[in-house]
Amino acid sequence: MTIDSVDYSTLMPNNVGLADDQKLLRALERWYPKYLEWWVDMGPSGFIHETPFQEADVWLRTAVSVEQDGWAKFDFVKMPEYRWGILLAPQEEGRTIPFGEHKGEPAWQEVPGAYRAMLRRLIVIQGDTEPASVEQQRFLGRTAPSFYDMRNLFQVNVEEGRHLWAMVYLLQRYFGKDGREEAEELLRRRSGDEDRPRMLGAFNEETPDWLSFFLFTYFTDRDGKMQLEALAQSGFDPLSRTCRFMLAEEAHHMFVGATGVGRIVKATAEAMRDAGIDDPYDTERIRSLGVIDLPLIQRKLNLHFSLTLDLFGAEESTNAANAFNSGLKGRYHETVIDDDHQLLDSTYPVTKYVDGEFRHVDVPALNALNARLRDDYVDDCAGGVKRWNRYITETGVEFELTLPHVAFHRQIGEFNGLAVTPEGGVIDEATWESRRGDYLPTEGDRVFIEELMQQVTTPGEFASWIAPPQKGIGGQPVEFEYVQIPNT
Amino acid sequence: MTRSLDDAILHLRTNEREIGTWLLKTQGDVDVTADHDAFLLSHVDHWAVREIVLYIKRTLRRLDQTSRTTFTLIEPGSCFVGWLAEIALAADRSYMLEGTFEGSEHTEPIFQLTGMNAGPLTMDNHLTRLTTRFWGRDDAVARVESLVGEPLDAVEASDAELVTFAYDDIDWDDELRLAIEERASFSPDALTGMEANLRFPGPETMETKIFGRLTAWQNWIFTRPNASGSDGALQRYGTGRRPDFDRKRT
Repeated sequence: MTIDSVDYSTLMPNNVGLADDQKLLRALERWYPKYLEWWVDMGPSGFIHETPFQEADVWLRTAVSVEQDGWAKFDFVKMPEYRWGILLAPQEEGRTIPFGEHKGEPAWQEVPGAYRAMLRRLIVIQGDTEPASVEQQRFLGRTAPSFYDMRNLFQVNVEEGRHLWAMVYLLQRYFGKDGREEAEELLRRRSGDEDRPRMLGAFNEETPDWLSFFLFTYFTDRDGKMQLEALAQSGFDPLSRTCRFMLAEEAHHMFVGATGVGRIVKATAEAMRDAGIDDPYDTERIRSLGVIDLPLIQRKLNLHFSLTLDLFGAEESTNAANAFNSGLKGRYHETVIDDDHQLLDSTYPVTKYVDGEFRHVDVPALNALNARLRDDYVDDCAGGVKRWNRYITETGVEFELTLPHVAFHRQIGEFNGLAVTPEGGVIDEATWESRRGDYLPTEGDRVFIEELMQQVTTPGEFASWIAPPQKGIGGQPVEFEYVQIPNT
Repeated sequence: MTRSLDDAILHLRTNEREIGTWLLKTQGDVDVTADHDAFLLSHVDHWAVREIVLYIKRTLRRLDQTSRTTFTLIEPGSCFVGWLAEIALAADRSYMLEGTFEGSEHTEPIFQLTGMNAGPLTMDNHLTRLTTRFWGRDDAVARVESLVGEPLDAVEASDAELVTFAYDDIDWDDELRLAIEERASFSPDALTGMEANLRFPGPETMETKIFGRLTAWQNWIFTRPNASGSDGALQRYGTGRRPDFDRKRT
């Protein structure tokens, strides 16, 4: 067996030679039942007719190789029997640390003791978000608009589960006793729990409905992508290889989000056109068509975008500077950036609120890494929004979805405490509060969406508020029965 | 043996200033070591024995006063018993192996207290290392003194708070490597200050005032080049760049 071929002989498919690493195998085997218990406890919960989700056969892809093409195969799988594996991108011969103080030195194959604490923290935070999103999304199957969408949800869930495995592998393989303890803690924290919450704010918010889910996978998973891209640059080679493979899966999650929001927008715009409604703010009439009005989609977008920006942390951050300088966490597309990759003397313009206006202020580039990653992220978000707007213009409806200003509704960093409109105007707190319902989803919105979203369990049928996708998935047509109740 | 230890300490302190972390090990027969302690204790009134015990005491005090990180490794074949166990108690950290190494000819290591740990070998604060270790917890001192003569394995020694860490052979190498590398990355002066403080909690005596933590107090650390120099920790703080340390210990 070569090192990069996937071994299916153990309980856990892997390309890390698990069968020969007794220590790791023992640790993972002890962890596995606890993970399964967590999955049954906190994973997808609900029924199709009388059958619990966990007993249904789902058309899922399972990673079977780490090659660029053909790395996954599709089959019907019951979720608890999904083969969560440990897969790393192939090792690059002679890889060197691409940035920071150790730039040019051979990449670390073991944890450098000097950076143990910092590295462990990075991995634990990344690991914590993976199960958190499964917990946030556990009830969504109950209101799935089609079998196609239900499958996509479950696919995202099992792969977030696998991402947890990936991080747990790193902790158990490379961080000794406290790594094992951290791995258990990852299963003990719960999204939204008062006593044991998940580590990051956005991962303790509910994902109450499918519009939230699609926006979450579009915006928040994209933050995940940025963080993975930054970690994929790491000088700690096992982390880099793990993240590179995770990115392959993450792409599908963002596809689900981008197309999901797009299909909702399309359903609304087409329903408005067919009913001859021009005014996007004619809420009652639009809603009576069984679709979601565009301003509500905008309000939801405002919420998810702003919560996700908070995940990037403070714009100027010593922790980020330390992690970069130590060679642990790089920048987005680090290797294609044209500079010295050490940033000792360069600066970066950070948007700040100074003397009553937003201005770019030059700060030392090392300290501005969070701001830079966030700026890259905002650029990366724009593409999908443009596509969504195309659906609207195609129908002749006049409305444009936009990303709110980066200072809007922020709790962390430079703009925390500022009352900023989505357009970027700074107003007083009281006025902002009085307009809250224009900016962010309201209780009325929540009730409307809750009533609107009902589970659809006829193959090929879609709820009124979402358009069918252009094509099916995993070589199957749109009307395929992606989630099946096993014959008893 | 005491003379060899004393020589080694002085040699390393004077000639090997960049070796900032010492790993302390012993090798020998547990019972012989215990008998040796018993012999010394039963003849303390003899002038020669008295001198030997005083020499041991002075040497151990020298270890306390050494501005180096000290880790004790309690491995199979070791004899951390009685006065040799004081070395583990004097160290900044002690690591004890649970069980034995694969293929080792020795059985699991033993940690054992004798009467030597309960009185004669006081530190510069005029307290025994056990009293210092459990400073302010008289019941804990009484509890461990009741363990005199009992051979303890890693789990028992760790439960009794006599060793810092107990690891099995699977974790042993990795944990040690990480701990040593981590320690070596810190400012040598800050370590000297921190270690001196942690080694001498409780009351000051004339000796501790002169040789102990007060000489390595924070004002001293802050005025050293490793802190306030142009590449020191204070100048580099918040920039994301790591300080350049002069690795020589004082």
